[in-house]
Amino acid sequence: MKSNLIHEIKEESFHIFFFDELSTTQEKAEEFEKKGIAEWTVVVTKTQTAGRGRFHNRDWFSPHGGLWFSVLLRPMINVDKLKGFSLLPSISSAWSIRKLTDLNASIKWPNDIIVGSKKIGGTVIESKINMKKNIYSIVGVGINANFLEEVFPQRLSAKATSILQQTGKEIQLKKLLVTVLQKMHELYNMIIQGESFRIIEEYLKLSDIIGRKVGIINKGYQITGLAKCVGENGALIVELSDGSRKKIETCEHLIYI
Amino acid sequence: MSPIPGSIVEIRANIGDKLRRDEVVFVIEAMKMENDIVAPIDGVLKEIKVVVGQTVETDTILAVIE
Repeated sequence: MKSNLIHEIKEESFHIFFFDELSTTQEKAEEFEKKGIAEWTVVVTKTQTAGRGRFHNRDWFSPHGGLWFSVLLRPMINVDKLKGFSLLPSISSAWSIRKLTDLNASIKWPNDIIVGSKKIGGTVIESKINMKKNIYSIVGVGINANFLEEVFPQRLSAKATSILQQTGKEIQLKKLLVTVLQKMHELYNMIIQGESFRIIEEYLKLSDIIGRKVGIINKGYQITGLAKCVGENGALIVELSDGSRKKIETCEHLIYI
Repeated sequence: MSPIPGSIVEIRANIGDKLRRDEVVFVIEAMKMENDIVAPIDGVLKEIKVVVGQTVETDTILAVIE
């Protein structure tokens, strides 16, 4: 298990394990979970050989120079009280990129971190739920940091970018990691203390979706409407052409029209 | 019962399977989260009331375990 482990550190509330190469940080974090390791254990790797995004069939390109990590959390509370939880990693990532660079990073609902029209980061959350109790969640984050767009495979080159590409400067990965973790910790505590409404406030500061015409694509069908608001649980409320409102809780693709 | 609203993306058990408590039976995707829904008790899976691709609301009955 530790063959790939480079080193581990304890920083504030976080126990961080740095690996050279992993299949995915999500899988390694799940291994740690099964060993009963405490929450806020963080798995970081230089590169992933099978990185994935939302839905297991979506791969995530994870070369050297990026920030690829997963965080183990054990909320152990009713899922009804975890409103806004799904937004934690995207808010933390976009906020941190803005804090440490001049980039105007924003969030494209639900979980894409973008600069301009290009994706610079993504997140995934995998949870285990028994009845209504959240047993654990593994929060995965990928940020395209210190590599250029030319590194991307052709299928991604038109729609993905990186911090280095946008700023011309490398970013210190450990500083970026700790900044994201600190923000995530702050937001997580808001949820645990029953202040989910503050998560939505933070989200809306970083998202420009409200008031935009959007297309939501699911299973080959597209719904078109005007994005009106983001609900407390992170759902997108869109107004359809007939004036009715629809709550969107899952989507394969969202496009701005 | 479904603890959350979302879309059924995977059913990992078959009718007649002997399930153990905490064994993953359904995977529900919602709000960009992939949620493994586990069996709350040991038992035999008698009925599955949803299909892959179906959208469910909170408290939708997913299966019957005896």
